[in-house]
Amino acid sequence: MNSVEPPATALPEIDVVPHGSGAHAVTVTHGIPAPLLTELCAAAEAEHVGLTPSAFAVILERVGERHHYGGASGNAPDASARATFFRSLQLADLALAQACALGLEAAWQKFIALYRDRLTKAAIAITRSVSLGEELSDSLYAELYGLAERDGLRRSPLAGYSGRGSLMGWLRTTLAQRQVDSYRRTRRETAIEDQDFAAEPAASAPDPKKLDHLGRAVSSALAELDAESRFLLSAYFLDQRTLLEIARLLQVHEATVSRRIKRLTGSVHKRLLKELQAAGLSRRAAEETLYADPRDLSLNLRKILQTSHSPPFSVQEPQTKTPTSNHFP
Amino acid sequence: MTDTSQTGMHLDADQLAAFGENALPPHERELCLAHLASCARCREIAFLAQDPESQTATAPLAKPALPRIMSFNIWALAGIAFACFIVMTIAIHKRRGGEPAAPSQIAVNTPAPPPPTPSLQQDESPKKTTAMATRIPAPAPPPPSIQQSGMPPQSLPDIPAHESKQEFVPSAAPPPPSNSFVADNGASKAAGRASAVNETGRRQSSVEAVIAGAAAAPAPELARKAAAPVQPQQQSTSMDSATAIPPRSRDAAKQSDVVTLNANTTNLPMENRSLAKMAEGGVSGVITDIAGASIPGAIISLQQIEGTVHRQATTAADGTFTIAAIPPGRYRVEITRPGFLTQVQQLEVSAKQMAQLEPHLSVGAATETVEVASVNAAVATGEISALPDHMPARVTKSLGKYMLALDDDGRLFSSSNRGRTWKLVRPVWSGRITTIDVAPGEPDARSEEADAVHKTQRAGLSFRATSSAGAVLMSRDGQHWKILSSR
Repeated sequence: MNSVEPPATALPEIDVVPHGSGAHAVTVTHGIPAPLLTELCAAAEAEHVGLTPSAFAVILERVGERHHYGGASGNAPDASARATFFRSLQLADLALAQACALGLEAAWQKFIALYRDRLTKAAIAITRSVSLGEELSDSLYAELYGLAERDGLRRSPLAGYSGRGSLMGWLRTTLAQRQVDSYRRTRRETAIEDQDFAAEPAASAPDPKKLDHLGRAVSSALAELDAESRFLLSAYFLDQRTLLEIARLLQVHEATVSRRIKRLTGSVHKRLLKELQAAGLSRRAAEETLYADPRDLSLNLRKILQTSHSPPFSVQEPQTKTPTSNHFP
Repeated sequence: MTDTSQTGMHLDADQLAAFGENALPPHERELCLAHLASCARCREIAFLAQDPESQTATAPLAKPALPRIMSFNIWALAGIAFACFIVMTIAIHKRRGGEPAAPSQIAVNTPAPPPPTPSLQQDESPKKTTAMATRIPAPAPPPPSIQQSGMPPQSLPDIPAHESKQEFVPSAAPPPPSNSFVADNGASKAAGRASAVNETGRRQSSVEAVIAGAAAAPAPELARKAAAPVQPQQQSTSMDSATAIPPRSRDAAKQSDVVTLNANTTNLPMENRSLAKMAEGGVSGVITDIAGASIPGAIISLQQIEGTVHRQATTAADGTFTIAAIPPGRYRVEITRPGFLTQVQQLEVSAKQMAQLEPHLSVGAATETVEVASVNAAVATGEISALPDHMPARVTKSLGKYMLALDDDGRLFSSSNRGRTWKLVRPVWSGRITTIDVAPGEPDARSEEADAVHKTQRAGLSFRATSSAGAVLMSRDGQHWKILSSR
């Protein structure tokens, strides 16, 4: 299983207010000032889903500590920064998700009313099949409900939702994870070197030495790109994503993505020319070398683009050819 | 990063979802991009998880289309064209022999008859307005009356001159110069009026103040259609030739503004509403809790106490808000936010001044209300100035210190100092702008603008405009626009 399960940490013993009881005890803050906690609980409608303020405070503190209150790790946030972080969360979604993870019935009733149909529709959109979508959403729904237990604790992926994005976005992403993992288990990736490229016809057989220079120049040029540039090239050239898809993910305009990719390819082209000329080739020879048939190159572009500059992790999926992931401090 | 990413191999659903919704802090977003660049699986999940319904949603825009070098060339060409124009003008002038220009016809303000209402007490002004004036860094609005013979003729900026004289009866109650929180204090108002009367030497003459006062009465009707253009008929009568406008009953006690024109007065091409709009004020500030933390999503409602003007705004992520184009007067301010006590207070808005509000909300049930005693609100050192074309601002939107104004001709103006100065936005669209708004937007990570822009970036809001040609545009600062979609 490639996707990371949320930590199996149960919430400490907390008070669960029966739905509709109207209790509103604000005494324990768990690091959150009582007035702020009252405000956050009101915004989150925590009581409506059966969470006491102290329980919600625990949840908020856990989220805040996990994400360093929105700041870089190592920085000690002040009270104002913590308050701003808490207020920036999707509080209602967070309260609902965490209450569902705890198995509170009131929360589940609300979740079913709000998200059951949307979950199914999202699954159908992801799988592009009604039957597969319903199957996917039903299996995820059961998993969300926390039927699985480990060490006697109820486990639900909803406990991993932090409230930074919307709950519906999290649900869609979780569905996508399940779908991709299922697909990858049953399919084999096609290496880029197996594909044919429409290369310019070479006037003569390429010089192996020049190809060697080119290979090294390509590796060097691509390796020096920043993360966003490599992501753009990977998504556009390797994944064959459209400009619109990339633009929507990055939340920029399609024309912006187009310009960036064009600028990137231009700069990589220039860099390659420079590298080849630095290796001793003349300008003309360097340009000719760039028109070499990629099939003549002993390069794994996918590997080059997707090679992380950080210390590598061990590979989890043996069948996955691509090296995976970065190490996040 | 999160525990899950430390122990796992890939980005978890929470990180991916937050990345797709641009809800990650910059450093974490960078890390996610680095991982996505190298992980095909997570890329696949990220793309697959995109909401298909958001395909038609407007995406935030990046920087304008023109690369820097092209922008520079355009500016260079513009500079050269301007220089050529200057040279040609000088050459033509010299060829004509330096003929003197025709004398400009200017409006002459003659001494006006005494004000109709007895409440206008000039002698009260010096002392009473001193205390108020100390709180006002910006100069007071122009006096309504010209009771001074021999006053040099004052020319209005865009009013073509005419030789006839205009007589103006001063406003009995022009907008007071102070933006302080005042209780219903007639003496304060009288002092304010008197101070306005005593102000001299202002470039914007009494005409504006009188017309502003005359326009104050119909302003509530105009304010109901905040985004709609001002109805010219409502105020044009005030400038009709040889028409004396009787004082309006609503303002009879305070602001019975009368404008009497000489029989030879010709119609002024500039409509009254533009002068009236130039006399509007605004309110801005930041809402925080007792601890000083900003409160986003708080609703600020302004209701004119003796009128029907109503304005409402919601604080941004950093707790700031701005409400512009408010007719001068007294307002009841109500600040509400779930989880906090509703705060109510009164506020006096003066013409061309931005009142500053910095209340601190106390935690409590929103149904409970706390009445704040009238306190003096600081007046921002700047004031909302008129648009460069002196047309009224049909719609104004603000985003932190950036403001956007749309005039009746569909031209956009932007300000980077809360309305103190305005610049015409160079159109990158065809047609006129029909609507402007503030909407969620994507900040450009490569922006080189000031910290204030980053503030709006973090808030994720941008200005959005729609043109008559159907183009939708977005901008972070009101000056640099990007066409999001066009027909």
